[in-house]
Amino acid sequence: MERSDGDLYGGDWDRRDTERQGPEWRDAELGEQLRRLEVPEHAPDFFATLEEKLEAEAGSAATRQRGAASSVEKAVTTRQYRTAAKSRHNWLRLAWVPVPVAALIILLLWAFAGPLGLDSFKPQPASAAEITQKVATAAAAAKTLRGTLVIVSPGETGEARDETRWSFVSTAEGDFRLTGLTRAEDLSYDHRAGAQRTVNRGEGGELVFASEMTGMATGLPDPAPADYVLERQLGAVVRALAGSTEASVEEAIYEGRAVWTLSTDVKVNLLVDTSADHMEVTVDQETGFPVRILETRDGEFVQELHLEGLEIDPELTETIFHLEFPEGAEVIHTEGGFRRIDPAELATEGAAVVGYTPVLPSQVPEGFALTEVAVAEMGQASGKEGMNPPAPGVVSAMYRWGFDRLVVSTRLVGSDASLWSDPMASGEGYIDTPERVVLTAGPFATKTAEVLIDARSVPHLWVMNDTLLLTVSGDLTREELIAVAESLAVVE
Amino acid sequence: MKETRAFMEMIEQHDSGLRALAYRLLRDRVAMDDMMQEAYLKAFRGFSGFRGEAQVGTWLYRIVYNTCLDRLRSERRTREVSLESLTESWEGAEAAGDPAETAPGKADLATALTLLPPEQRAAVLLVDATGFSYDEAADVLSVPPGTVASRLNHARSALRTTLAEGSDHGTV
Repeated sequence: MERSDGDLYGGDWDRRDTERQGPEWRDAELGEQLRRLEVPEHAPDFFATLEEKLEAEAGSAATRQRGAASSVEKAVTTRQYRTAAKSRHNWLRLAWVPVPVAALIILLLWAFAGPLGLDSFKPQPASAAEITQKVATAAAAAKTLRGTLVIVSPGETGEARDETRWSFVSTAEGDFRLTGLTRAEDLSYDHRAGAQRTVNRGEGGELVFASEMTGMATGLPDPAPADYVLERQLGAVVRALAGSTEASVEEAIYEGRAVWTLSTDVKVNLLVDTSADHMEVTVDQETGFPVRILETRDGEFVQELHLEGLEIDPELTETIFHLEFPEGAEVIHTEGGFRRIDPAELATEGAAVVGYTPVLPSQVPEGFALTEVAVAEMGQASGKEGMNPPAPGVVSAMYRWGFDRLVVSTRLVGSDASLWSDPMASGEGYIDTPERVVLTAGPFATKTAEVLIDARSVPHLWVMNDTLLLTVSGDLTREELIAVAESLAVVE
Repeated sequence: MKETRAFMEMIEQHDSGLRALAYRLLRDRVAMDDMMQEAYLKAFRGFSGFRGEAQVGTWLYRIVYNTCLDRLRSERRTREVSLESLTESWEGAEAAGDPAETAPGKADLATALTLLPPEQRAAVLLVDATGFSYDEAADVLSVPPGTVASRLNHARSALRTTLAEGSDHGTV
């Protein structure tokens, strides 16, 4: 009945133990004792019962699938689907994004862009226009931001709530610094150095973790700086919400300031029982920046994020984005495999790396400008659960307009196109319902692209031809995404 | 059905490790089975999105871990968990003859584990016992690798302290 062998913990301890050395110290003696602890077997009918449940679930899933298909067709024909313009972020990246960043993604991007369920917003027309204008102006015009981020989450017991505070600074060029005020964690990205650094300390001030990531792409779906957390879509998502047809928008006073409050039901994650089903976003009327997000489920508090002391365009020193490692620290280094090149050298230097003649948009929305290009001889896995194959020949190009972003990437498809699905699909637990659009111009003309403007992902388009897979993502409308994809031309 | 069979085969490969994590978090074999039925059902709903094996392991661990936390949070809504209640719980398990808690020479560590917050317990089980890298554990726990390191630091320290105190009082 009871087992105490090493198999209880996966059976491959020896391999793991010998393969993973370095700064990730593991307490081998403790591990050995833990593996010897006895663990009860399942009840005798456990797997039989489970199999019955799975069979029943498979039957009901088939029914849901048929319903979802008809929903997609309906959505494509409705105005609300066409006007829902922006959304959010690839949750898969949370795996390597440090805590404050993850929290920000969850609470800024997820709330502003994603899980707000764009299809269900009903903004008041006058407020929608005003919000759209205000937020668009704020996102495009801001150059630097500084403030304090406060994350409130349910406490371990009773009604008490945990509060985590971070100071943050950020620039439109992509630099950022997040410093824990209630815990000893520090995270930075210096765009000049192309390095993202993290330092974590224990309660006694001792160093427990230091890491550096270099060789990053400019943006999703490839490993990229976490700078988008603070900046991207702060405005675009709210603009999208305000521009959609079913948002609930109210004017209110928050912390003594005039604000708009956008609220809506959001779809829940099928795999997470505690995910929110309702969200409320508060936008400062004067600055156009979101200042608070409140998530609830069945009316009960789930999580809250708010910004305190937000400063727009404060003076910042360049050195603030350079995080020094403590002397003698053992640093975990991660190399993304990308290298930045001068955009003017893409046709020559870039082509030599990726093995094909790169293509870039010949048209982008007004205000956007090409700021960074990165290339990789071999990219990393992408897509839901990272199930797309690591692809060779990746070009990653970033266009910026203030804090708004547009990322265009291409990569080689390889010999088996069937291996690919949406590289920027929403995370596990969510079912995407992309719109399928046949492109009419450019290298991908006649090919069917998928456009996803939905919760849990950055607004994006992806499409393949016989050679390349293209992604276009960022703070764009559906029409803008398609226009950019159709404008692709060989870089000369 | 074919998909059900493939899923069953997949989880059978990972079940022993998942079961160990679940049991150490929930400390009750009935709750463990209930929770794992629920977790596997959740995983099955997302299973169609997989086309490979590369990250299935951490994905399953994440679902089981999150489902355990959901259950623990649900329990907290009705009763406050204190050091005393945890100790009582262990004593109750001992009285009931739970072999996982009372095996000679092992109850000390098992008890010490119960005194850790679930998040720290999971970290030490994933990294030290299962052999996950910090990145893999971070993926499972949905926290940055730095937080994994921090939790490990706290967990190991607390285990050492508890075990040392247990020895001092002759309870081992």
